[in-house]
Amino acid sequence: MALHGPTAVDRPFRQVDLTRRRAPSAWVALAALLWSAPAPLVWAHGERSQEPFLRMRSILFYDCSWSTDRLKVNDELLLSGRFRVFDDWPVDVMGRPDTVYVNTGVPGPVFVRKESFLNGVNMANSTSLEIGGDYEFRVRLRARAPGTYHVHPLINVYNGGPIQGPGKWVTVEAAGGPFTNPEETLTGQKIDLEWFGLSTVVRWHAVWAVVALAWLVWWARRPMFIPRYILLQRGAEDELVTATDRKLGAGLIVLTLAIVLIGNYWANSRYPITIPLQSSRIRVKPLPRPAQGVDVELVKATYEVPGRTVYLDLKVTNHSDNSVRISEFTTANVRFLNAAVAKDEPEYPRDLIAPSGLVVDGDPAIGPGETRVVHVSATDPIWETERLALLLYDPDSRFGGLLMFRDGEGKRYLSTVGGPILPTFKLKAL
Amino acid sequence: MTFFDRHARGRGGLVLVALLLVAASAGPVAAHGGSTIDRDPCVQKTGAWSVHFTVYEPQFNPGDEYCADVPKAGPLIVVFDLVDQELRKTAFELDIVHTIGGTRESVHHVASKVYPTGVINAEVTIDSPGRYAAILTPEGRSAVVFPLRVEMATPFWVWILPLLLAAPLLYYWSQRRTPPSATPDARRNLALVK
Repeated sequence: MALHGPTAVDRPFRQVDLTRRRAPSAWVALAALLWSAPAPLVWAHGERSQEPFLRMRSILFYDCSWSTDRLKVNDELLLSGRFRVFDDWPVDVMGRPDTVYVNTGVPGPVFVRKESFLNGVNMANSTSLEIGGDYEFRVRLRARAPGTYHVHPLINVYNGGPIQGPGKWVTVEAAGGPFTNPEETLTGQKIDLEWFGLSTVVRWHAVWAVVALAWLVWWARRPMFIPRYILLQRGAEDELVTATDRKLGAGLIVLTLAIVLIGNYWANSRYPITIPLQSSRIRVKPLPRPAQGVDVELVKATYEVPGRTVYLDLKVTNHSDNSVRISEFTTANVRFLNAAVAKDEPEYPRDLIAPSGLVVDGDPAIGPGETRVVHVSATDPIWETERLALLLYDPDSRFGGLLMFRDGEGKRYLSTVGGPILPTFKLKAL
Repeated sequence: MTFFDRHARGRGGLVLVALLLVAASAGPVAAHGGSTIDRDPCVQKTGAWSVHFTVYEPQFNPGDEYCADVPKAGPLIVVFDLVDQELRKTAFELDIVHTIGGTRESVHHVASKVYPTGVINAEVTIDSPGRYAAILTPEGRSAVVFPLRVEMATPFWVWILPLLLAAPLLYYWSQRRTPPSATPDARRNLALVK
């Protein structure tokens, strides 16, 4: 750190200058260590810190389910659900969803993903999504480590980052035996992927570590940075590399190439049948959409900050053959249910659902072929606790969400709604 | 010789002092940020359930929310979020009081009632700076108290002042140590690498 600039070597250096330990740096390091030591463990994924407009206007998850919330090591968890790719996808920020990957959000390798599907297509590869399309995902996980974890479906979007679905706490208990990951290869060999090839990996790492360490020791046994720098500055760099150094370097090149060639030959003979990592993209078509649905157009949206209420004036057109009623509004994994139409779902994460948070003013039924402006309010502290109210301070204060309608026969119609939203501090109901 | 060369020795101390200044200025976090609700400093527990508290001063700064230090006396809006569904079946009584010494003077009172939406809010006018408390009493349980300091927060310049005062001292300290005199001694340096 001490000697910058071409003229720095014009003054003499005493041994003490070059070898003295930098006490202040040590103190800084110690202070930083002590400062960071009490930092508590973090178990969640920071899903609330992602900008609300990204959560509300990208991937809108719905019908998500977890096959269980308590299982043992080696048991399997099926994570399934659907999502709508929002019509007003924030292209300027995230680009288009041309490369996405179906994933799961868990804290580290506590589960092993055995398989994942999107609309029934194997998702070993990435895929592209159609804006406005609906997709159904299914992920099979095998519990690996005991603990309690927040388990999310997750869609990785190239250039956009991860978009997490709803998270549910899942407890994995010890099974009384070690974790295993049994698989059968294409050649019929039964292996445990948890340990398969591990000794080979360790041996090869050890070989390269020995080579690297020998090379480091060869150079580190002599004075290093500052004296060498001084010689370099004085044009005496020839002093730095001896004939023995050159011979050793040449020998090491030969040795390295030999190890690589031998390793390649050994690996090919030991594992003659291999499948490369799959890196292409698969196109998955969205789910078919019913021909006659319900169209929704946003007239006005307001967020009453002290009331934790979003008021929506919606122009709804019912193209179906039956009367429909609004049953649910969902956005950023938060669900507001109209208690008059939809039943509470106790299995859904309780911190993400407002069982009677959605209220429709006036006559709630919209007849077939009818177009009407409907006033809807979605009230719950979730707006604050999920940090969605921060939308008002985002550079893009536009919200998005999914409205669900149901007819008398229980048939469901989905429609997206979104647009600019304005805050107000006027209390409607004190 | 560059500025950094001449002051290389002083920089370790400078970094240390800067770190200490940053550490010293880290007070209790008053905003909500993206933390989970369990770690939100504006949340208190009643039994196993959480209550989240926010104060707004829309006429002063509509973009900010507070929960412990309110910057200005005047009209403000207090909001309690009953985070857990179970609390929405419980009746709550709300009191805003001015605490002077050991006494409490009521500023605002709302009789006990149930809030099924989970949101309790009230418009309150605070006439003078001082210590206040928002007290939420659930029926049959002990009260949840959110202390409020109105117009009593440490001004921002108090944190900046030590830095401004320390800057010339640090500069003087770094100037105090001068580099050794310039006398070439190549043989000694060559010996170091041999």
